Order: sequence, then C-alpha cells, then structure tokens
Amino acid sequence: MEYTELKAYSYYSFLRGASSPDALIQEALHLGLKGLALCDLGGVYGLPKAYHALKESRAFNFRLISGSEIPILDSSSSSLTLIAPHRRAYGAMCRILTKSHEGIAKGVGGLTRARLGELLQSEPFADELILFPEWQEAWFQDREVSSHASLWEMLRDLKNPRYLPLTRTLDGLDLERSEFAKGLSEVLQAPLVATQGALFSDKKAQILQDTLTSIREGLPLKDLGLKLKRNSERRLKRPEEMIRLFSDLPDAIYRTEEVRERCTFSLSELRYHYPSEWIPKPHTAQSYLESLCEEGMKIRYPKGASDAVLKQIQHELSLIKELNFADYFLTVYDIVAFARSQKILCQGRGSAANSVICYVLGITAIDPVRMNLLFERFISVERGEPPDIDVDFEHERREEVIQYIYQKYGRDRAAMVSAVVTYRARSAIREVAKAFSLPVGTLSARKVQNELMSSSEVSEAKRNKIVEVIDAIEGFPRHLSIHSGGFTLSSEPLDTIVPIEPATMENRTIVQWDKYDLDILGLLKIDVLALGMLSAIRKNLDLVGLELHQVPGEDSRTYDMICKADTIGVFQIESRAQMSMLPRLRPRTFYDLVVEVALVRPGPIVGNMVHPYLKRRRGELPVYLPDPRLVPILGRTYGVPIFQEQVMKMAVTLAGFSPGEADKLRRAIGAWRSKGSMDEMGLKLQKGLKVAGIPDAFAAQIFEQIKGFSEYGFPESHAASFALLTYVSSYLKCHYPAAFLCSLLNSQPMGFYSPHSLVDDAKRHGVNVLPVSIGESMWDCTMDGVNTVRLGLRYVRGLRETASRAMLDERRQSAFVSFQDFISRTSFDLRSLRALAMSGAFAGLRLSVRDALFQVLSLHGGLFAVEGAQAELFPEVRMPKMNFEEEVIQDYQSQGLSTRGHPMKFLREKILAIPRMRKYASSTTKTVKAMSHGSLVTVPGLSVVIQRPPTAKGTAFATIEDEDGVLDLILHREVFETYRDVIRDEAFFLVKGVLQRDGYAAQVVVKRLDPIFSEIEVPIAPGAHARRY
Amino acid sequence: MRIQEESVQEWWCIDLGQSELFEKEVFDRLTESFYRFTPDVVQGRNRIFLEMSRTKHLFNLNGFMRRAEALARREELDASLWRFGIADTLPKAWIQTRWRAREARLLPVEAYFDFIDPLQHFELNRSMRERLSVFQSLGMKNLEYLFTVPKTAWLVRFGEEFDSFLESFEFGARFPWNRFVPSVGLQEKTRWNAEEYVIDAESLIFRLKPMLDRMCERLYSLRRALKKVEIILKLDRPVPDRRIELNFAFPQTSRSLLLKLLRERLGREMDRNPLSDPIVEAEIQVKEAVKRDHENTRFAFSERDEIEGGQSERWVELLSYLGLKLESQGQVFQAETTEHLLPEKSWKKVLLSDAKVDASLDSISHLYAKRPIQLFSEPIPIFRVGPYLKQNQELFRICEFSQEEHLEGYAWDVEETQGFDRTYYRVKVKSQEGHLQDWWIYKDELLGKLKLHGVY
Repeated sequence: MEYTELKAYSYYSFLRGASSPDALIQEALHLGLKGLALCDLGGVYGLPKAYHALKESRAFNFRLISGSEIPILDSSSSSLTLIAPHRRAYGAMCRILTKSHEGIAKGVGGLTRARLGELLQSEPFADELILFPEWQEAWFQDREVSSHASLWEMLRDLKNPRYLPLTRTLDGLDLERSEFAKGLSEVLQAPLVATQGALFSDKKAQILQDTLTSIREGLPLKDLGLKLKRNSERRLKRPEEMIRLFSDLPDAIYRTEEVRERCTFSLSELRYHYPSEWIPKPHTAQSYLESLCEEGMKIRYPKGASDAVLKQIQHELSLIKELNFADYFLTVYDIVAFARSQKILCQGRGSAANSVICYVLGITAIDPVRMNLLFERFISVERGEPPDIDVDFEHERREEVIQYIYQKYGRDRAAMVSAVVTYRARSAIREVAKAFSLPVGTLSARKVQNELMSSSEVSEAKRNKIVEVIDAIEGFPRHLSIHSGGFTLSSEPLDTIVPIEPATMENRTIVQWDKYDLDILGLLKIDVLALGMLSAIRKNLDLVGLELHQVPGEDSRTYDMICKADTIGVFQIESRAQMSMLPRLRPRTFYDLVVEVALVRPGPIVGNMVHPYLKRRRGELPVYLPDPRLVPILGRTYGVPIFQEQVMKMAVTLAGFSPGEADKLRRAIGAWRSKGSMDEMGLKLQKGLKVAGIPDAFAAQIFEQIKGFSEYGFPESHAASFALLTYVSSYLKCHYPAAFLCSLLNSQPMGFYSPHSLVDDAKRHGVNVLPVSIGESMWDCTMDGVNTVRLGLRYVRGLRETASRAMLDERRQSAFVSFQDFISRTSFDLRSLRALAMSGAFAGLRLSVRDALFQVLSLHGGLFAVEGAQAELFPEVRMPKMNFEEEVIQDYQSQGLSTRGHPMKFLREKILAIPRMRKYASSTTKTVKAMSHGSLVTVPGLSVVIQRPPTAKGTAFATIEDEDGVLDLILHREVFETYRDVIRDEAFFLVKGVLQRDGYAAQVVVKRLDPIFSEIEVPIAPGAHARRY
Repeated sequence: MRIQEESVQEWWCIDLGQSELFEKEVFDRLTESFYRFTPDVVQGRNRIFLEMSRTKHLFNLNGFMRRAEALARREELDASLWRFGIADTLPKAWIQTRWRAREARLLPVEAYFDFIDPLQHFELNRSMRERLSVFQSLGMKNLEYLFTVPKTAWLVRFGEEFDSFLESFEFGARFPWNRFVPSVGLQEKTRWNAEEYVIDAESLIFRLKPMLDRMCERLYSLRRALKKVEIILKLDRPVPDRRIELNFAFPQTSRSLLLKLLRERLGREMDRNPLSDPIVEAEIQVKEAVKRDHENTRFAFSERDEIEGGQSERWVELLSYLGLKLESQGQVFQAETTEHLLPEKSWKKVLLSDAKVDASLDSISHLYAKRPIQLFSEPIPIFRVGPYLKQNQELFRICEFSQEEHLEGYAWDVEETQGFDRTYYRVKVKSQEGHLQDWWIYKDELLGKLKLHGVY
C-alpha cells in the first residue's frame, strides 16, 4: 500500500510550520512517500521552492500537490483546505486566496463561510477543487456531530469532491477523535482521508516548532503547557507507520492515493505572456521591437551605427526572438517611454547595460559596444533564466511610474514582487532567548548573546541547545514584505498564476512569491527602482538650465575636484571608503570613474585587486600581460580582472568557452570560496588557459583574484551606468555648487550625509545659505542669486505642506507686515506656528525665536492664551535673547541643521574652559590634515558618518566634521569594541590617534575616543547624530 | 485665604522614596504612627509632613531618624530610601527634600509644579511636560527667569495656578493644611439584660446576627472581606472577658456563610468550654479585613449561587471544614490539573489558603485523555508474559488495550523532560480471582520496559 501526505505545512505557514519546503520534499522522498500536498496557511508561498527541490532531486514519480488552507473568519480555529487537481483549478485556488487577503494587509487572510461558499460556486473551475473541511479538536468533546456539522452546511450546495481529514497523533484521544470523525464524515458526505498534518519534516525539527509556537504565542516555552505538541507525531511518516496507525481505517489510506491520482497539476504548467495588446497592429512583438530599435539607432547614432553595433543588434535580436523575450523588452520600453514623456529622469542599471538594444531603446545610457561590454552577461541561452532589467527612476516620482503600471495593466495583471523577511541573527537571538525564558527586556541582541554565554545560571547543555536553535531558526521566514521595486506583469490575470495580497503600504499589492521564486518558474520581472540622485540631478539641471546630454564630458576641473576627494554629496564616490580611494586612484577619465565605482566593493577588496591595480596604475609595478589576446580584455585595468565580464571574455577568447558557458562560469565562481575548490567550469578555464599558453603563475594569480567575485561586486555595465551619474553629479557640484546643494536639500532623504553636513560642505565652498523666512522661503529650498541658497519651509520640522503652500499663495498677494497680519491671513494650526516660530522664520518681522514663540503660545488655544481683551491691558513681553550656542542648538532642533555656524565653534570655546582638554581646543580637521604621516593627533569633532562593512573584519570607518571640514577615521576592531558605547551614544568626540597619509588622502587611525559631553553639559542637538551604515 | 501665624512653624518632610503609590492601609498606618512626634501630621503623595515647631525640643534629629527607621521596619519598608527635608513652610520643606536647594530662585523650572502642589506633585504629566518644554524653549532655565517677565503677564495667563505658585514661592503658603485623621477601627457592640439569659451558642448567634449584618454592610461599603474577627463576651459576673478569635482561611463576604461558620465554631467553643454565666454584652471587632475580589461585586451570594445552592461557597466551606478537622492547613489541598507533559507533574497541590473558590471548573481537562484517579508516585514495573501482565508475581490477563498516548520529552527542556519517551495505554486486565481492573501502563520507549503508572 502506498501513501501520500495530503497536508504538510512548511515554514511559510508563518510561525506554524517548522521545516523548509525543500526539507519537506527531501524527507518525503527519503521516507518513500508517493507525494506530498503543500498546504500552507493562506497562500502558496512555499510552492516554487518545493517545486525546485523536487526538480533538483529528479524524482519523477513523486507528486507535489498544490494546496492551501484558508482560515474561516466566522468560526475560530476552523479552516478549509483547498487542493488543486489541475491547472484550471489551481487558477481558481489562487483567485480565492487573493480574495481571502483582500482588505487584510497582514496575516494569513481568511473568508467567512458564506463568502467562501459563494466563491467556490462562482469562480470558474473552483468547483473542481478538492476540499478538506477542517474541524476543531474541541468539537469531539461533546460528541454532538450534528451541531458541528451544521457549521459546514455550505458544503451541501457544492459539487466539489471532498474528504474529511483525520489525523492520528497518539495523544490518547485518537479513538474518540476517530469516532467523532466517522459521524461527521457521514453527515458531510466526505469520506475520511488519512493525514498527519505534518508541521515539520522530521523529529529533530520539533524543537523549532516548539520555539515558533513560543514566538507566536508570546510566551516562554516553559509556560506553553499543552499549547505545545506532546510528541513529535506531527511529522512526515513512513507509509508503513501510517498504515499501522490507520489499520482500522484502511480506506483512509487508500484515499490518499485516490487524491494523488486526481492531482496532476505541476507548477511547470505555469506559462504566461507579457501584456502585448498595446503593440500597434500589424506588428508582432518581435517586429515592433525591431522597428523601435531602428528608430532608436537614429537617435543614438546620428552619424550612423558602426558595423559592430549593427552586428551586435542583430545578434541580440535573434537571441531575443529565440527566447521569446520581445514582449518583455517592449514592456520595459513602454515604462521608460512613459517616464520620459513625463520628464522623469530614469536610467537602466545592472547587466541590462550590456545590451545595445536596451541602449537604443533608451532604457540604458551606456553604449555597450563602445564600452566593449559583454551581452552574454545579460542574456544567455544556456542560463535558461529570464533577463533582469532594473531601471532607476527619480525617487520622488517613482510613484507616478508605479501608478502608471497599475493603471495601464490593471491590478489583476500587475503586482509587485514580495520579499521574504527572514530571521536574522539579531532577531533570532532575541526571540529564541525569550522563548528560553532568558531576561531580554530591551537589551540588544549582542548583550543578550553575551549574557547567554557568560551567565552562570544557564547550564552548558541549555546554552548549547539555545545556540543550536538560534542557528537553525536564522533564515526562517518571518513575514512578507514588498520588494524594493520588482514588478511582475502578465497578459492574463496574474491572480490565476499566483495569489495577490495587499502590502502594508497603501495602494500596493504583492504576489506571494519573491524574485527567486519567479526565477525558478521562469516568470519575468521588471525592477522599478527609486534613486534619490536622479531626483537631485533632474532638479539641478532644471536650476542651471541644462539637459543631461548637454553636460560636457571629461571636464578636467571636475576631475581635479574628484582627485581631491572633494565629493561630499556626489553619487557613489561620497562614501568614506570611496573618498579615501579617490586621491590614490586619481581618476582622470570616465573609465577611471567606472573602475573607481567598482573597485571599492567587497569583491575586488577580498580578491586583493585594489593594491595591484593602484600600483600598476601609478607605475610602481609593471603591467604584465603574457598573451596579446589579453590586451583588449585586461589592458584597461592594467592586467587586473576587476569585472566579471573580463573573466568571461578570457574564458571565451582563450579557453574556448561559448558565451553562455562563460556566464555559467561567472555564476560558478560564487561558490568557489565557500567550497574551497573549483568546480568543473573552473577546471575547464584552468585547462583552457594552459592550452592557450598562459603561464601557470599568471593563471594562478588571476584565479586568486577572481575568487573575490564570490563576494558582492559590480558588473562592468552596472559600474558604467553608475559612473555616468557619478560624473554628472561631480560636474554639477564642481561648476554649480549652490544649485547642487539646493537640489540635494530638495531631494532628501538620500545619500550618505545629513543635510547639515551638506550645508557645511557647501559653505566651505563659498555658498551662502540663508535661513528659513516666512517672507522669503518657498516650500523647497530656492536659489537666491547665483551663489546663495535660501532654506525652504520643508526643513521646518512639524510644518505641514498644504498649509505652507496656502501661506505662499497668500504671500504672493502681498507681503506679511506683522505677526498679527501673518496670523490673520494664514491657516496654520498652533503646532505649525510653533514650529515656524522655533525655526526663526519670523526674524523678518523683527521677532526673535523666543518672542515669536511667546506670541504663538499666547494665541487662542495656546498654552499661554489670554482670552478676551485682557492681553491688550498688559505691556508687550520680551523674552531673554539667545546666544550663539543656543541659536545653533535651536536650529538643529528645529531644522536638523544651522545656517549660522557649526556647533563645534561654540564647543571649542567650552573646551578651552576645561584644563584637561584646553590644549586641544585649537586642533581642527584642517590643522590635522596638514600634519605629516605618523603624527600623533588629537582633534575634537562631530561624528557624521559611521560605516562598518561586513567585509572589513570588524574595522569601522567614521568621519568627523568641524567648522573647517571633515576628517576620516579608522577604528580597528578592538578600538571599536572598546568605544562602542561612545560611538553609539555620542555626537561629539575627542579623537586621539595616528595620522596616516597616502598622497592627498589623510586619515586618522584611532587609538582613543572620548565623549566631549562627559565634560561639557550641552544639550545634544537632534539631527546632529551620525548616519550609520 | 492665608492665615497669619505669629509663631514660626517648622515643617519636617519625609519622602518615602518610592514612585509607586503605597497601599493606603500601610501608608495610613505609617502616617498614624508619626503621631508620636506631633499631632500636626499632613499626608501627601508618598510623603509625610510633620509640623514640629511645638514638639521638636522633645527629639533630636538622630533620635527621630532611628525611630522613623523602626516604624519603617514595622511596615516592612526600606527606610534607607527615605529623604528628609526641614523648612519653615510646608512647600519649602518639600522643595528642600526633593531638590536639596537653599536658593529657590535657582531651582530648575520643573520645581514650579512642586510649589504649586507640594503635597501631590511627583512626576510631570503630559501638559506639564509640554509647559516645561515651552519654558525651556523660551530660555527659562530656572525659576529666576520666570520673573524676568512681569508677573502680571503670567497671572493673566495662568491665573489661579500662578497665584498658587506665588503664594507658595514667596509666602510659603502658610495656610492650614489638611491634617491627617486616622480611620476608626470596625467594631460593633451590644448589651442586654441578664434576664434574657444568653448562655449557649444558638442564643448568642441570634444576638450576634444583627451586629454581623451591620459589620458586613460596613465592610461591603469599604470593599473589604473579613479575614479575622474577635468576639468579646462580657459575662454577668466580674470575670475576665471571654475572647474568641476567628481566623478565616478564606476572606469572607457572605453573611449567610459567615453565620454558618460562626455557628459551627462558636458551638464547638461552647461545647469545649461552656459558659459559667449568662452573657450581658457582646462586641465584635474586625481584626483583619482584606481587599475584596473585584469580580465579587455582590456582597451576598450571587443569584445563581442562591438558586443552585451556592456550589462554590460550599466548596470553600468544605475545605474550611477539612482544615479545621485536620487542624493543619498544609494537609488539606486541592489537586489542580496543570498543563504539564509529564503525567506525574500534570497536577499540583494547591494549599487550602490558595485554592480557587470554585474547583469544579477545570478548563483544560478536555486536552487530556482520561487519566486515572490513582496515580503512583513510583511507577511499578510490570512484564508482559504472553496474554498476561505480570505484576509482583501475580498474573493479570489482558482483556483490552486502548487509548494509545505517546509522550515525548521536549528537546529544549534539558533540565526536566528531555530523554522522556513513553507510550501509555489504558489496559483492562482480569486478575486470577476474576476481578477486573483498569490500568494505566506505559512502555518506556528508550528502555523498552513496561510500568504500571495508575489505576482507573
């Protein structure tokens, strides 16, 4: 006799199932089951992964059955499991699941009994779904079958095949349960079917299931009592065991086979097409794409395309035709065309920039032929996966693009891709510690972990158990979230392919699968991403009256500025690590920028490519290329393979790989480091290089370097796309610093630096920044002359935009002449007025911050309100005046920045008053930078950025700022650990360390950090804290 | 209205150093105990003020502190947390205690609220915080700054509140503060003629009932339940009063039940020690009354209980009776089912004093298969011999196996249940004499041994 488990829950039944879909499939195969129905609660989240696991295992006789359990909203703890026997019924199940989530942003969704019955009758093919009405354990206590059966009265009107699931969990109640089930089965006319309702794959996973129950119930394990399963019977079991358990009900076992036979649906049947109804007749998708390419070529190559371009286009078009991707390219083109029509700046990124078709269609901005890029990095026949086009849009206007997609294709055909939020180490530590009754409270995960490891109250055995569970639970899904920009579209209703559910964010719907699931099933997705710098560039270009293509190329002043690492606010090269690299690499051409952008990434750093590249570039090491065929491949990067594309080209040119194989090689490299050895592809490359006559030493060095690609790195095409924005933003900063600042301030939040750092940097470049004023400021920051920026009302914390805009309209009629005039003509509420007063915006009306605040508080409804005419009986009240320090602090509190000065300016005066610190008062970032290599330095400053990249082995990089500029700090692991609390809690430090100098680059290797506020009592200004990455 | 006093006052403030409010009874008792220092005692929020100008010469500060510490110990309080302050006015004494500052003008603006309400102010509420933040925004770091603005500007804005502040700040609010008055203990007394001849329990109960009813009413209004009561009986002869103390295992709220208990205990007392003379006066004093359960909002039996016979009250009565009978509360317990995996730990002893009022409601029993009433603390080894189970050299024929129950220890519970793996069966067996027995046996899955764990 054979057995199929008809109800298994993976860990996508969030906080209920304790095994991955993969583990369930593996175990089911191991136990010799004939099939398994994955019936996660409220969705089909785990199906693609189970399908993938099955495909990988090549078990062709095993059947993965698609199902899902829908909670019944009007009966607590009751639910109906749906099983899809074929493709059409699967579509119906997805639609019903979609409906079960409508209006419920979080959780497993659910339907009322009546609504579910209605849907099972009305949805096409829903009547072919197999139903398992679930029943509550408590029902059989009173043995009143008829009263409970009435709850499933809706089944009477349905034609669906149905079975009553019966579990044998050896809890001592199996006989009573079975007796009750027999009665219920008769009444419902649903024959009994055996199932274990598997919550986990094997016995070992029970501890995880218990822990998940603890997390779900919010109670420690020891307090859960019988909420925990009293044995591990809810696991997958061997057919023999099931047969023994149901020896009195053999038919219940036979019926599992009956159901299995009925269920022929496989996810491989899912086929879909991109919407193409908008393609003009009589074009096919391919012909329309070809015609658009021709038109695009005229724009991109006004002097005519070269043979290389034409050849490349033909190659790409034929490949697209072969793989049937024309619809996909057209959809992306359509979205980009919409953005262009709305003057929304956009640009393709990632491997799409390898495609000349993407370039001529205007999706990407880099000419891959001129840049000698490699198309197979984007699409290859061998890969068998859909291409991935990521397009960046102005972050403030991306919503318009998203709404366009929803509008054009409909919410039934367009939805965003989900992202599965999983347990990370930190969350796992806290949650598991709570489950094991450790005192967690508000302690950080690190402190909980320390407590766990050092506590004498926790036995060694228990400690090991906790660590074991933490490790196991890491990576478990917690909930679904929304992908940053992934969209999937379909010509048919999408909800027949995958259920759609509302995301927490308003007006967003997501499919139940993430991007990996889409890849598994070969479904296409488009990434509609948001990029703050595009908004800033668009605004900047508008301010200076330029178009993107009018930005002059290869401007030497711009490169001078970049070489000095004067790049605060510039795209990509403003990070602490990039800024320290700039004076060493000294970019002078666009391609240098491409390399700069790509070089400071974990891949090249781990692959030890940085120093060889820099030394060869500076001429300190000779460039050695043993074969002339390597010159076009590695020549531009001085013989160092910085990009994956270079390795692919080497493989094709020297080792006889096909382009597709080269792409496979690229993917395989990722696993070399973790495996510790090369795979088949690597060996082939090694052999190929040897045959090509490449010396062993050179090949070995190349191999060492390309192992770094297992870490994150940029493809050359992506680096080139980003470098373009880097160049444009650098050019704008160099030639239009005021407009550049204005655009950045109007595009916040974005970038590495807080607005106050951007303002201070601009001021050091001679830009005048004027404070907020009710008489002058607009909502956004504005240019007040060529070199002056006026802060906008948007920077006043707590001010509402609508009321502000109404005030601006009123001001256009006539200027405000007094506070009373302002109050009488505007509609701000007291809160907004208070915010305005605190920002100093009434200075133009000769009211200081405090006087204005007093006036606002004295208005009707205010804290100091004087009712009636009494106020007139008393003289005007003047408040104490603020000093410089108070003004700066007030600015920070009100706007997060100050136009008056840097807080270090007044702090320096305070430092002078402390004997222990007095001698450091005159030390500034500027004086420190002027010192020689190896000098011991002590300098106070405001912490503005702290980075601790995972690949830096615990080293942190920070930047401090004062009125003279910024200074980079390096904090090695021990120093960082010693001063962790200071770094976390304090805004102002006194830094002691050793100055390191490499050309223009200067940074301090920190030995000691002291908080300045421990000596000086100054309120910490909110907004003056460092941004942490 | 301010009363001008000629004599100089001296206010001592004791702040009990605790943010949560004290239980009123404890705090009242403590406050009352300070009467030994002065009759002018004022109670605030977790703080006590003593006007000591007339009695301070009787104490030195050290002696006062030591005695205060003794009073704290009596109430099981930690006097090391207490803070003291002395000033010529009550508000200043509080300011001195809280802020330890001589110069009031330099106090932070927050002290504004201490001056307004020295008795009750403790922490800032939302509106106070908002006000304070505004003061600070206006650059008013301490109270002195408040006076940089004309007082009239504040008076017109804050009116009475600012007036109170000024009164307190500038004049010390020398008005008569509400003195603490301790509550009177609960007692009922009644006299009658000796001719009425009350000498046994029954006739005494008859006399006591109206008093008991009144007392219950008073307790009810105070939301208290009776825990301990003393009955003092005066006899028609100059002999010491007969004092009978009744300590109830459960706080009582029900008049009828109380009467039953009283009848039983007085009856026993009178049986053991009969009265020599008639009683002429009876007094009932409440010695201890505890806070009443919130759910028990009705004083007497609920209607349901009245109709259904007061099942829960009778349960309590039974437990009380058993407690009396066995004369040791530790021997009377209620076995309550608990949600524990191990059968031997799936119930717990609940001592008489902690037992639930109504033990009949067991909300979790349905989660278990039926368990035997008798459970052996040490399971007895048994062996299977063909169709028989052998226990202690005796063979029992197996008639029926049922109710398979598999219990496995939790992998996470390394200290208690890990390694536990048993499969239980309910087995009907017949002894050689033909007696049928219903056993609960298990097979230890790790050791492969059978054991008898209980009998149905």
